[in-house]
Amino acid sequence: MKKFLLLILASVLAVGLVACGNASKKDDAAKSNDKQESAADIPEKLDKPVEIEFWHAMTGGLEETLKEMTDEFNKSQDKITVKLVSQGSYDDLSKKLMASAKAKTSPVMSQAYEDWMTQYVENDLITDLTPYIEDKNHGWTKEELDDIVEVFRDANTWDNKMYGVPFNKSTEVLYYNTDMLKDKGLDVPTNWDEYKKAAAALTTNEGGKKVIGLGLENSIGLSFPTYVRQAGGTTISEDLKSVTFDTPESKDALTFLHDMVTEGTARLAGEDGFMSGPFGRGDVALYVGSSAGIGFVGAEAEGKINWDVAPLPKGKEAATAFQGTNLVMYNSATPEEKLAAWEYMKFLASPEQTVHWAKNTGYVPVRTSALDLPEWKDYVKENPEYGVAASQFDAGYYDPHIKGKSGINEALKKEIQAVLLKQKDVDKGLADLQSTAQSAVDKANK
Amino acid sequence: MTTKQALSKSTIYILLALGAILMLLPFVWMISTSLKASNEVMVMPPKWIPSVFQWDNYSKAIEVAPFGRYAFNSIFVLVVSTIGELITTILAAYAFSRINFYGKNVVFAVLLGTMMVPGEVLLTPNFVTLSNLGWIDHYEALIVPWLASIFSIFLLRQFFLGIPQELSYAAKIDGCSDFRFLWSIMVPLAKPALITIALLKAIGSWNAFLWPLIVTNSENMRTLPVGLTAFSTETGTVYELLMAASTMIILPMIILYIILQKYIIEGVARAGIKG
Repeated sequence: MKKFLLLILASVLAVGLVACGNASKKDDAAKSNDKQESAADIPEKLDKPVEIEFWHAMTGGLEETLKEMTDEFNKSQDKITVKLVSQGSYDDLSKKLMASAKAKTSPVMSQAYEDWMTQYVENDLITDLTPYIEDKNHGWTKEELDDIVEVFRDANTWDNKMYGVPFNKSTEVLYYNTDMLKDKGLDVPTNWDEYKKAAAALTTNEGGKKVIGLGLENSIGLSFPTYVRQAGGTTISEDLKSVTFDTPESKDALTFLHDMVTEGTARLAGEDGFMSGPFGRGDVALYVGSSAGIGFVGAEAEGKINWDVAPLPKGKEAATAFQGTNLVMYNSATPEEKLAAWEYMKFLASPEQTVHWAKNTGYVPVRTSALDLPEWKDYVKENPEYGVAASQFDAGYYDPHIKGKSGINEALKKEIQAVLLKQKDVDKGLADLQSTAQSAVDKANK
Repeated sequence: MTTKQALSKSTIYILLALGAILMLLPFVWMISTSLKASNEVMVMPPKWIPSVFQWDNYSKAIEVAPFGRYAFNSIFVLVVSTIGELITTILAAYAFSRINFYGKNVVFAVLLGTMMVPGEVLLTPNFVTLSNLGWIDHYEALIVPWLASIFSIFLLRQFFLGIPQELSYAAKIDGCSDFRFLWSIMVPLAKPALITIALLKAIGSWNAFLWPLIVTNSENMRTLPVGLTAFSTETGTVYELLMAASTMIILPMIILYIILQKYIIEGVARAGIKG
């Protein structure tokens, strides 16, 4: 009996600890909300050397290119030293940024996705860059600002204030196996009808080699809003208070995908993890994937298949989401550190550097004028596959900054996959998606 | 041996062998992948033996990150935190099993209760505490929070309870102090349990990823598992190099385990911990 009592006591205590932890978290958030930083006071110039930390999640070749560019920046002037700090994956970076914000030890600058930024803006963690952009000593001219690709500018704006400078941006493109298309006498699909027909025609079983027409990444759920846009709809209401997965357009989009999967002309990556593997060994003929993965596709396909890249086929409309992070700076930094960070951001977003970055990584340049630089033009002429993503700027859209985005994403991942794995039908999947995502939004708006 | 016995014995052995092979497959895959060319990694059906052995995957993998420094940090943290944990565990387990003091069971229950709090919940508060102490990006942050483990205390306490009380009576009669009795009699008797604890700790410390990543910033302070992130990006992973690095990192632990495995099994079995 005594032991039993002790066990109860222990469990009550454990529950209590967990509950207390949550409560105090809310308090903290409320506190940091109250604390308002004064508006930016921008020094005219830097008198003393400044060292700033930039937390990033770039690995492998991406990290090397970033290092090289940062070295160049550090050498280009004698006041500012940028120290790169790698924080693992985006997930790890996000965790660490959260923890350090609570401990009031935020870095001077970091990479951040727009949905993180929505939270940071709300908690007054990151700095409004507008005063820096407009500053007459250090800012951008009107032309320079307008030169930043429009969809990136919009994505970085909250209440008419710009909080981030676009950095590593990619979008979805259509990879295709040139030989398979030629075999069937097909052109690269440019709209949904051709797309569906191509997927069907390319699904073959010849000489024991099974080929499926279209390959989709496992993260298809997160791309689902793109298909809804292509169908002519949206997934988030204008007032940013509700999600709209219950529209005819959403149904069209999901039916389109669902039909191809049930007919066996499309498949998910499944156990393969990423679709670049099956595409590279010729198990699928078409494949929708991130433009940032071109390097991986190239490595998989080498010596096995011939391939090329095309813009996403359009439905009623052309639409493609741009993913990737932006550069932000934190309110906890001193005015000198912030100015240093701004100078570094300007450097990374300059036409020469953004082209250099794009050429070495597969991301897109973040400036319109960069596309006209001879360096970029020559490069795209030689490597046409790298030019496709940037050709889709006009079709680019960004998801409005709705609160509760992570909840929506969770629901999207789960429900869309459930439908495409034939665990639910289209109507049930959309109904569940609508209710789960909406409750996430309602919860975040409370 | 009758035929029936032989039959049941061989069935058992076949099942065990199958289980062992199943457990080994990931390791075999890891080693085979570490020697493949990049376009062979994802081939279907899987290729168990690479067509050409790419030994230079290993040298390439080492160059990706400063693994020498990472290895030093990993070893240093492992040694200090393992020794530290053994000391705190022995003292605490002895107190909970052999010394009677007021509120002993309550304190023990509270300690066990903390085991039920998932680590993720503690990440942020622990980070805030450490940063207030000024330990972020120092060895203290990598070591001090791991100097005590409730699970180990529990394991060793159960083991101590299994050692006959008569031993301590005899020692007391001969004028032996608690402390001397602990170090001269209990600790040597508990060797299998202690080796188990040390080994579990060593493996845990060696493989720890999130904590070292969160509490360090500079390359000089990072540990081996953190170095493995260099091979993954959002759009894919360079499996052959990742596996080459993983093979090198995991090897010391496998060797340690093979040398000490008879103790770990004995230790867990004797303390009566299941699963």
